[in-house]
Amino acid sequence: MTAGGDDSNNPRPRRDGWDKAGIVLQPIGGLLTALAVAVLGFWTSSYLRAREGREAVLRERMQTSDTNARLYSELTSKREESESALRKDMFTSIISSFLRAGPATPEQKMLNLELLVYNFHESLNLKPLFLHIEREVKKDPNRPDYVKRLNQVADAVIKKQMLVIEDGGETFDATIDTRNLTFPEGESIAPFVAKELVVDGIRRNVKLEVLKADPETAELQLRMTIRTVESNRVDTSSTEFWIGHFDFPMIDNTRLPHDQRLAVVLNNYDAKRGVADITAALFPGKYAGLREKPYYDEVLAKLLAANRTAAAPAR
Amino acid sequence: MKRKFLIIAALCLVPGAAALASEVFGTVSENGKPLPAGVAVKLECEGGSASGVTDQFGSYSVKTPATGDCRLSLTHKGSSPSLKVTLYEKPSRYDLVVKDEAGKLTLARK
Repeated sequence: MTAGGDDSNNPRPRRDGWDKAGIVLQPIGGLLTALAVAVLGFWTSSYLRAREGREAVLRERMQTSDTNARLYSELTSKREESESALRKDMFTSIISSFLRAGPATPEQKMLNLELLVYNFHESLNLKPLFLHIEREVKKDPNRPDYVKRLNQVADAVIKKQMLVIEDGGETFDATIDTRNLTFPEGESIAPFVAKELVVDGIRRNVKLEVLKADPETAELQLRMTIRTVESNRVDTSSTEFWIGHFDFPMIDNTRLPHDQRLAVVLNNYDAKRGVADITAALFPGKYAGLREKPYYDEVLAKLLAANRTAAAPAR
Repeated sequence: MKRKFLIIAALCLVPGAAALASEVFGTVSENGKPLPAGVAVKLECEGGSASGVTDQFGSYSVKTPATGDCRLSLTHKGSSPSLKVTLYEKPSRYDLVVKDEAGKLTLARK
């Protein structure tokens, strides 16, 4: 036997169970890897497909919603435009009937006034027209009827406006002795009436005094003093004005800070007995007529406050 | 015949007169809550008296042919607080508050 002899005579190395398992499992491992890659690929692609589908549905829904919103706003603005045009034409034709020279019967004027009042009572101060017609029918044989009609129209509008105002504001009523210019309350008589009204969390003390009473025109001159307590200081403001049956609270009111209004309405005036009944109403500016534009700084302050309120729960 | 006609005409005018009645209306509350239904409300004027009751929301309405100064009273908790009110040709609104002052009920305008 030599050192460099034939290797074929050497016995093959003996394979144990691990070696055999390795031989069998190697292709299975490859197969499993291929399968895993295929499953993962399939799963990823179906996930991506599903997400794309969801996004497409969402996009479509948002587009539909955007289209609907745009359509709605277009329709609304078109309706507003046509309504404004109609109201403008109506207003022009009615108001020109008052301004036009030439004869117009009191009945025609009354009818025009009624049309104006019922359609524009939130936009215009129509007191001058009421007074104008009242003066015009002074010598008319049917004066009592016309005056009654004027008062009825004014009453109806005041009631309509007060219904809206009372919903968002606070009111108080008072009786006035127009001869002594005092406020009888039950058994006592006071030279003024003062009550606290709270609107939108702002507390104001409203004091009313009667300065003059005109039984002929059924009008009262009042002094109104408003005391507002804010951050440990008291703001006091005062104003004087006349009120009559043709003063509408949404239009004829006193503007206060924080976009609030204060109106006084004459409910009743009995010149024979020398008594009158009034209502004072404190209400937010959004219930005021369309005649007045809001102050920009007040609008901004409101928007900022709304933003702060909306942001507060998110924190 | 003429007499009969006049009597019938007079009878027909009575409801007409009632239709011209003045009215006092409003709500009654106590401690910020409306009074329960069925509280008697009485209105005494020179020309006579009229009565009504509160509804489930504490609202009342009493009509009378008289105008001018009258007295409005309630019957509540065994007491009858009252208040002087003024009636006009047009309805008068009196929103009232019942207050307990030293064990005595009083009525005041809101």
